[in-house]
Parts: sequence; structure tokens; C-alpha cells
Amino acid sequence: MSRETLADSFFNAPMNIAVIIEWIEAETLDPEDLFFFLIGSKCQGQVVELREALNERNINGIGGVFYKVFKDNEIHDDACVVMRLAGCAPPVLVEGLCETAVSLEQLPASADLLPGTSLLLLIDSRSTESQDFISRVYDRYGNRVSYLGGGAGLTATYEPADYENQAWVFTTAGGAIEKSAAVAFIKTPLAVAARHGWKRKHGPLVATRAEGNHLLELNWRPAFDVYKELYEEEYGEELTTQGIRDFQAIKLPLGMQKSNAEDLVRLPSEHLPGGGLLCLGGVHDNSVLYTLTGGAEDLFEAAAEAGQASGDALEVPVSEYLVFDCVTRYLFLQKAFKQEIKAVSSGSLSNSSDQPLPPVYGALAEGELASGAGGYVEMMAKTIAVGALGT
Amino acid sequence: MTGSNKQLGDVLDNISMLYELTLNVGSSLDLEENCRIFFDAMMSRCNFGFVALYLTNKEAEPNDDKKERNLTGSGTSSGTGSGTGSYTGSYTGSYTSPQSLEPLPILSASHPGIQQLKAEGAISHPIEESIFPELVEIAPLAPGRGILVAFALDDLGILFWINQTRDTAMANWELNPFRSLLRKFQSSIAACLDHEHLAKETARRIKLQQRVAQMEKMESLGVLAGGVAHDLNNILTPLALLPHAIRWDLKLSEDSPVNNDLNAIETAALQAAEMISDLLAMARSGGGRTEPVRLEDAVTAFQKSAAFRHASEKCPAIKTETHLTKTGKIQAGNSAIGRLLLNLVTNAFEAMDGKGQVRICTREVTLDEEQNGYEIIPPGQYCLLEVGDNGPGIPEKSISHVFEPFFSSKEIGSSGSGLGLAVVYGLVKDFAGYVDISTGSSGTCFHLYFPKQKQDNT
Repeated sequence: MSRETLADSFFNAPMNIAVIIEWIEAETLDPEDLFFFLIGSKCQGQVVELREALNERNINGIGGVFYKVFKDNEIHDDACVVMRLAGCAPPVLVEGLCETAVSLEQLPASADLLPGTSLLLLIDSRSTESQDFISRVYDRYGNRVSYLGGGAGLTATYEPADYENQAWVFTTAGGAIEKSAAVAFIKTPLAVAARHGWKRKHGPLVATRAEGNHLLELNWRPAFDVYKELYEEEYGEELTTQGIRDFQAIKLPLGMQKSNAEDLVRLPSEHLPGGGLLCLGGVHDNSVLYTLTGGAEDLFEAAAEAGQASGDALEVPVSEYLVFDCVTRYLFLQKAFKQEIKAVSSGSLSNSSDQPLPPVYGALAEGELASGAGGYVEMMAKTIAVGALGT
Repeated sequence: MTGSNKQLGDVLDNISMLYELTLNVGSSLDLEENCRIFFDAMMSRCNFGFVALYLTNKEAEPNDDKKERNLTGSGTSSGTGSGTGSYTGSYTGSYTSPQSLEPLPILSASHPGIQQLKAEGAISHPIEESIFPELVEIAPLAPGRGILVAFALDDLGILFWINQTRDTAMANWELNPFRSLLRKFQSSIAACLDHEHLAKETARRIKLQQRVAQMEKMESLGVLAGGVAHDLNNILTPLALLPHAIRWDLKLSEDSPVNNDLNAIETAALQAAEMISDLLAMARSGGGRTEPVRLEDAVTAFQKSAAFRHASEKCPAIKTETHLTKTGKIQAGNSAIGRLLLNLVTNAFEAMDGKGQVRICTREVTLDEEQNGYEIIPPGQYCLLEVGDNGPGIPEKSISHVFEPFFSSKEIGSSGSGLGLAVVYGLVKDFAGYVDISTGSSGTCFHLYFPKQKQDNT
């Protein structure tokens, strides 16, 4: 077991609730304290016990379960990241994200939020209407707040039977309920940035028929056929329907064109009956797509850019980074993934190399959210979303 | 990438973007849905932070309603870039993304920004120098940089957007690709508004047909009731008169059993006569004496009447207040107005379950255009009598039936015959008037419009 505390965060591996509570109680609790938990997939069974322990002590908390969580070069599926943040409104659990137009009445009004408020959103990745939820939250607050978060859960890495009825997000007051979103409102200084580093290869392709995350046609032909041809041309290996399920496509994602920003990445993850493709993240009907390729260096560069951009946008010194990195980047980079995490903080100190780099805490997410510079908020894929936190 | 390749790539990006955005225009004939789909695509693809559609406020310039809107948009857009035409009214925020929770400021046509738009068709400024500061203030933006762009949609309105991913104003060559896209959007908005207008007009016509059918039904009922009442009146005359003659002939004592039976016959006959009187009133038989009447005088007289005092005493917790504004004269019967008031006030008392407030008002109104309420009321000068209560209101499904004889969702009408409001309707029609009803959870008000006498200049 290792226990480290740096600034206001704590990495506990393997996860031990007693140790976490001890760390929390080591400092006098402030009524505004909000504890943010990123929990490794192997500790999913401890969520109920953790919630009970927090509720017994009147500790406000919000958290999610992810394939793996990390701190710098330590990457575990049985660890827990705990962050002490300054809350500015009670966290909220929004249920029923498989329906559109869920009620957001529990969320504070835009006018009631202090300037500089940020939203942390953890969304169950099984929620079919997560983009509708995000759009409705955006309708409520617009760009008056920054957004950082990710899709919690294990859909990309486990079989459905392994996680049936399991809850992947929770708040202490709202409970742990499947297909929900946990929303925290913090006043801890936070600046966010997101990059992916993938470069355009083939295209433009037009999504002539798409519904939600079902890409049915590309250039008026079944999407799988078109994608298969491009994949086989690029890599000289056969793409099978099983191969798509086994993340063969992680080296050739799709990008939706976006002006003044990188393309929005979408990853084919399953072959659909009728020749369509199920994608991680929604595809807009009639959107213009490109296939994307990239090497490890491109991804590291993107991570460094995201770290640098978030750090530059923060008006106070960076105390630590909170990262939601796509699980497919981890699967793509494998052992080199640690370099990606290192790259996040490497650009934060430009001149005095004597100072230690801010620690990087995070989780492998299934969809990433980051918006702080006034752009539109959408769930991203195969992207690294970085939040620079100040004290 | 070489310079020419990059240029080619940029052009391809622009074409792709316009292609996608163009296909998102006009996805629905519902204005809100049409805007939502287009704005969502713009926000997502162009990374905008705020988009708002302002429409010309047609109510502010009624003459504009008479202009034929061009469905294809070809007549409303010159394509030269100048816009907002000669419109001199104001602009109202119609749809925004993110959906604004705060009311959008109304923009006057004399606004300096709109004057500039009229001249240039499209303008772009950094937000800190924007000539629409009221819009920048209300938009939910991140602190810092950004640009505001405004596009004139000719006589239809203005489209604004704020892009916070850049801080330099868009040059003309950057705005140009949006011009043709927004002309298409403008046509789609025109189509939505026409569709909305058509839907409203269709609904109005259906309602009108229903009203006409209702009036015809009331007319038929009146004819039937009038005929029955007339014949019954003749039949009942002996029943009303003979008991007195029998008592006289037989010299019956007060307590004789036969006298009690005669009393019962006499009472029943009088009740029947009262009902017949209601039926005749409802039947719009006319023929009653009419004279120039001032509504406020009739209300004052009614308040002093024994019938009103009797009704008030039965409901001591109901307060009746009057707001009488001097009106012109109407051609009516003083006693008929009293009867009409008694029926409405009694109806209001019954609606309030023993406590509440009844309000009787008189005033003059001038209708410049046809009013579509319970009935279609033609333009003209009217003396208005209003009787309102703060009861629970009339259910929607009952409104079209309230003036039908014997219709009641509670106790029956004032005379006990179930004809209270039917009598009101008949009397109003007798005096060439119109009825309207406003009702809701805070109460019900009957509005009776009587034509003001033309020769009355006081």
C-alpha cells in the first residue's frame, strides 16, 4: 500500500476506505469541502461502503468508477484518487440518462453560481442520451462555467454481463445509480484544455445517414464497407467485424470537421447489422468526416499541448492536473502510455527545472469532456482532457 | 504541406462546412425545431459560444402584416449584402443557443448597430468593442476574448453569433461564405413563420365554424323554447287563475284540505309561469319595451333591488364590489338588465362555495378590429358590462356549453329552472350584444358587449 499526499490530492493503491477516511479527517473539515473520487474498476464493489462511510461523517463527495486510475506513472485498476476541492453548491446526481429531456431542476440556476465556477461531470458511459444531457446542462450555464469530466464505466473493456446493474457514478447525497450523471460545482481554480493529436488521412467522407452513435452510411454506402476499404488500404490487413469489437480500429479513428479546433474524434467500435458502425460518441447526420492516423509521438505532443494550454489559462500556479484520458489511447499506446501522462506536466515549468512537476491524477475514461475557452461542449473520444488545478 | 495544398485544404474545409450546415437548414417547419437543429450544427461545427435569432416585431408595425411574405425568399433578399430593408420597428429575441433563461433585450430599429447593419448587411467586431453590448452582456460567455457577428436577414430579422475561439473580427471574405447559407436559413424561417400563420389561421377558422354551429344551435333551441313556452303559457293560464275562482265559489276556509290543494296548484302554476318567462327570455322573443339605458345606472338600481339583497344575504361571506365607469347609452330594457345581472351574480355566488369576491364593472370599449373570443365580435363602440368572480373557473370542456339551457356543472341557475345563463345569452342577443368569457384558476369573468347608441354623444 502506498500513501502519498500532495497538495489536496491523495492516491491510494490498493484502495482502502479506512486509509482514505483517515486522510480526509487528517485535516479539519470545512463545510465547503468536496471530495472527488476516481475509483479503479476492481474496487467497484467498495463504492457502497465508501458512500456509507462518507455519509456517516457528513462528508460531501462525488465519484466514478473507471477502467484504471493513475497518478503520474502509477496506473492501477485497484486504486483510488481522492481530491479535496472547494465546492460552491451541493453535488447533484441526475438519473435516467437513457431518456431525453431529463429534469435539471435540482441543479442551481446559472445566476446563483459564482464567477469562476467549474463543473465536474461524471457520466455513466451506458447512458444513451448523454449528449442530450450535456447539451441541456450547456443550455443552462453556457460558457459562464468551465466543464471537465468523462464517461465512467467499463463498456469498452468488459463484456456487458460483467457489469450488469452496476453503478459507476455516485454522489454521497444522491446515491449510486446506473445510467446517471454526477455533477459537482467547484470554485477551486480550474482551467481546461483537450487535444488528441490525430491527423487527417482520408476524406472528406460524408455521413449521409447517421442516428446518434450509429453511423449507418458513408458517402451513400454502408459505413462498414467504406471504412473497411480505407482501413485495409492503410494497414494492409483485413478488418473483420470481430476485429472492430477487438479495437482493431483504434489506429484509424474518424474525425468530424470542426473549425478553429481539432476534428472531433469518433471511434468505430462495433459492426451493426445492415452494414453500419457503432461509434464511441455521436455522429451528426450529414457531417463531414475524415479518417485519422497518428503515432505515439503525435499523441504525446497533444498531451503536452493540453497540459501547457490548461496551465497557461490558469491564473494561479498549477498545483496538480486532473486528467480524463481515453481508454483507447491507453490500449493504443500500451506501455508508452506513461509517457503521455508525463507529457502533460512536462510543459508546465518553462524555465526553472529545479521545481518538481505538478502531479498528474486521472482516469481512463470512455468519452471526455473539456470546455473552458468558450467553445461548444460535446463528448469527445480518443482525446486527452486536462484540467489544471490551482490552490 | 505546401502553401497551395494548405489553401486547397482550407477551401475544402469551407465547402465541407457549408455543405453540412446547408443540409441542416430547414429541417422542420416548426420555428423552434428548425432553429435548434441549425444552431446546434453551427455551435458544434463552428465552435460558436452563442447564437441568437431576432425577428422583426410585426405587432409594432401592423402595416407589415399586410405585406405578402415571399416564401422563396427571392423577393426579400437582394444578395448584395445590404439588409433589414426599410423596417422601422423593433426586433425581438426569438431563439438562442444556449437557450437563454433571461429575457433578451428588445432592439430598436434606431439602434446604431442596426443602422450599421442596414448599410453593410453583416458586421463583425471583437466583443469588447461590440456595438451590441446588451447582447454580449446577456450571453452566457466565458470571460475574455471573442467576436460578435451580426447578419441582417432583410425584413425578417437578424442573426447574431459570438465566437470565443478567436479575437479578431471576421473579414468580408470570411463572412461571404455565410451569406448564401443564411439566405437559405432566412427562407426557411419565412416558411416556418408562414406555416405558423397558416396553422393559426386554420385553428381560427375551425373555432369560428364551431362558434357558428353553436350559435345556430342556440338559435334553434330558442325557436323551440319560444314555441313551447307560448303554447304552455296558454295551457297554464286556467291553472293559475282558477284556484282563486274555486276558493271564491266554494267559500273555502283557510285551513280546509281543498284550499291546501288549491294553494299547491297555484304555487306550481306560478313556478311554471316563471320558467316560461325564462324560456321566453332565452328564446330572444324580443317585443319587450326597450329604451336608452346606461349600464352604470342599471347596476346601481340592481344593487338596491330586493332580489340582490336576498341573494347577498344567503351568502354573507361573498363580497360584491363595483367599478362603474360612466358609459354611453345602450338600447335595452332596464328590468331585463337587472334580470341579467341577477342571473350572473347568482351564478358567480354558486361558483364560489360560500366565500369570495364578485366584481361588477362597466366601461366603454372601442374595438378597432374583429375580436375572436367566445363569439366573434365585430369592430365598433361598445358599452361593456363585466361580472367576475374569483372562483375555481370553468373547465375547458364546459365553456362551449355554459349558455345552453339546463347545462350546469354545479347547482342549476338562478330561477331554479336551469336556464340562468341561457337567459343571459338570450337577453344579450335581444339587445344585439355579444358575450365573451375569460376563465382560469383565478376565476371567471363574463363580458357582455352592448352596442353603444350612435346618437348618444354624452
